[in-house]
Amino acid sequence: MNQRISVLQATAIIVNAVTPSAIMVIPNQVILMVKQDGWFSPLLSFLFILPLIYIISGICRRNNGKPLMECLESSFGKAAATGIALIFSAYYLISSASVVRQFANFISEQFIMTTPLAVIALLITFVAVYIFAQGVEVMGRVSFFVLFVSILFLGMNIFLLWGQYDWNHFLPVFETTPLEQLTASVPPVGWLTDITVVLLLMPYMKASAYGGKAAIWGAMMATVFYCLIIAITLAVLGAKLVPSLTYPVFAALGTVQIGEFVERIDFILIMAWMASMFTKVSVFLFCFNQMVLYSFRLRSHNGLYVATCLLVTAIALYSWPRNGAVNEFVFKSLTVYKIINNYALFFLIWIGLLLTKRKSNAEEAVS
Amino acid sequence: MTAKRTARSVAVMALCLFMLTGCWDRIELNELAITSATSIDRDGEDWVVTFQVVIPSTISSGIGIMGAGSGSSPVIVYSTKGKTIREANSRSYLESPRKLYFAHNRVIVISEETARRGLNPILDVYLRNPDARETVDVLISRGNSRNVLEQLMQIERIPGNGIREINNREEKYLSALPEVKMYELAMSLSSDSASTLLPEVYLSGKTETDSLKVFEKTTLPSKIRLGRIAVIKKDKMVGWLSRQEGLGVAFIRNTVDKSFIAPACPNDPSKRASIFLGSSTTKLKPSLQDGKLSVKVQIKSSGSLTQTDCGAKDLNNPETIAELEKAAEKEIVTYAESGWRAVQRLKTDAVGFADMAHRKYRRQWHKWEKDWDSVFADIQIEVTANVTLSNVGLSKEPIQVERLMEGKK
Repeated sequence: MNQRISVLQATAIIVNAVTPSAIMVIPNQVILMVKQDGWFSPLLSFLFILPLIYIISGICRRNNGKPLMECLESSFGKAAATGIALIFSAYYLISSASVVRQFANFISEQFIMTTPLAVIALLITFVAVYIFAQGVEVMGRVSFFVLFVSILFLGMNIFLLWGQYDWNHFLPVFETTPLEQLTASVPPVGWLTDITVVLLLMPYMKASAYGGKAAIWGAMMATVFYCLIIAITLAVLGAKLVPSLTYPVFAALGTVQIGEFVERIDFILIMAWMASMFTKVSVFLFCFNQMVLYSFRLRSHNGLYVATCLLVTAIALYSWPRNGAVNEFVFKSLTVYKIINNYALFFLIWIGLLLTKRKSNAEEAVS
Repeated sequence: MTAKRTARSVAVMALCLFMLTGCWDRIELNELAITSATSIDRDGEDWVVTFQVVIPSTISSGIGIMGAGSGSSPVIVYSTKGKTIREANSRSYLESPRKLYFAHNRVIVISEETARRGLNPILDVYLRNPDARETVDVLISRGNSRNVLEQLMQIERIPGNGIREINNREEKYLSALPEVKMYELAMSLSSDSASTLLPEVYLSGKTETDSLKVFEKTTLPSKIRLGRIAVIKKDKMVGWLSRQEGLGVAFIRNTVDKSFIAPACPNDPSKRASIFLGSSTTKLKPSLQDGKLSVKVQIKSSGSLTQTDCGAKDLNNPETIAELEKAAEKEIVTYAESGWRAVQRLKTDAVGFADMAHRKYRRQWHKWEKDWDSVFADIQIEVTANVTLSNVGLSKEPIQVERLMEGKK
């Protein structure tokens, strides 16, 4: 527990945990549902995520810098805490595997088509395991650097794409019904719920109040990222073409062409995005590792890292027989899974903590 | 202990070096056939794909087509046939020692027949495969599209690049023919108006310039030129527009960047002035009357006088300029109206009124979109133009020798 991260580094870790794989999915999902009004959905989803931020802040305050599982154990008992840890282990394992597979698919489909998927997936997991094995401080520094570079390159791409924007693609504004808008805000809510990773970073933060701050800043930055990415995609490609493309964001960025020599500069942003994908996998594997260590009362060991690497790679490769199957999973099931695991479960934990606190207060009063 | 750790680190790094070498997708430059242009024709139900492949050794030095001094053509052209476009592509392995590489493909020329039979398979190939760039320019050829790719150019060594540059310059300085990239084509066809315009490329002259011997003369027997404008509705070509009609449609679509017009002289319609339009913007003002859509097209341009044969007039006199401006406005209105008549004749909303109607009348749009063709046929337009001649050049009156001689006296 000697390692410490600042609120800025924690925010960067959250943004990297929430944004990179979502930008492959969200423009597609949202624009399919609400067409040219898609840019508005992330803003709406931010409102829905505010109660979760409140819960996170409450848990952070209550824990006062202790590990999450220690706090749950003291409130609910060892068995219940172990059960919760196992549920979270499963979530972080499945999420890590799906991100690894999405990332491997992208690299395989775009750049190195004949290289076996297994090699790509193994390399991604290996790098991610290496990052988190170095500790939270390294993760924080890497995340902050990657976030800085991503913002810089995104800004550059927005500027270079200026000639391609057609503002008419946003018209007519608010053509969709409020119900459609609400439905379209569900996928961004699902992805934003991953801000709960901050609860596992609590013991490493310089002050317990930083957890809530990092959660709100992380959610705000991720929302801005989502809005920008959807808006860019809409402005360049329009609402009709986007749903039929697998990677519309990268297709939109790839349209830059200035003179004869400046073209395909989307590679600059893709480079930063790839770095953030590695960071994302490392954050999820860190969370998985924490939950496994607690559930099985293990200590950190190199053998465990190797096992994690192989397990995640195997699940990523063999859970989905085809690339389409992982897209189907990410588009349809993962959002619901995220909301149940991150929103509903933490809501129940929060209620449980409130009840146990009330009970212990009552007992103190009686004694 | 330290030596053991060092050995372990070296082993890990060596392993990484082996794993990160590019893996199974390693390819050397001399294994690639860099494609500068592609064309697509139909032969019955089969697809014929033609590739213009750059020969790197002949373009590596010198300027102009003969500059390299090698005396050999800078490109080779060959065709393959298949049941699908990609199958035809794959058959290039039967005759080419190198792998086709499309990242530098500048243009795709589609034959008229192919365009009339449908563009969906071509769009699918370009939006599906990462090696086919969606920023390639799309053009239509009136006959066999392979002939266009076989044609060599005098100034530009790689004809594919040359065609793209011609298309680009034309759009920039004349604006009658649009430069359309593959993703723009997909966007236009998937828009509410479901139509677009593509430039025609053809060979003018009698014989094809496919041999270097013709470059020994100053005039080529044939050359690549841009011609009319192909009108595409949904994914099929439905007809042609002349360049005048194309410029008219461009005025309505607000896609005129710069252009030249030659209005008739106000005092003598048999003579013409020439005006370079430096900028032009069009505002569309739709209105509904008795459930019918009508559109006011307001074109505002500014330009400079580049030539006048309009007789003796003082070009510093505001009245003279006003007359010329009126003549230019009349010319622009004629262009726009002829373009409008042409798209109505072809029953194709190439002016993008469907998108405008959707934006302006979102409720009615849901009724109109079911039968937009009949709504489009009933639309009335009223074109007005406002031209400002901001510059008359370096001479304040038309240059006429007789008058100059009088002046000398």
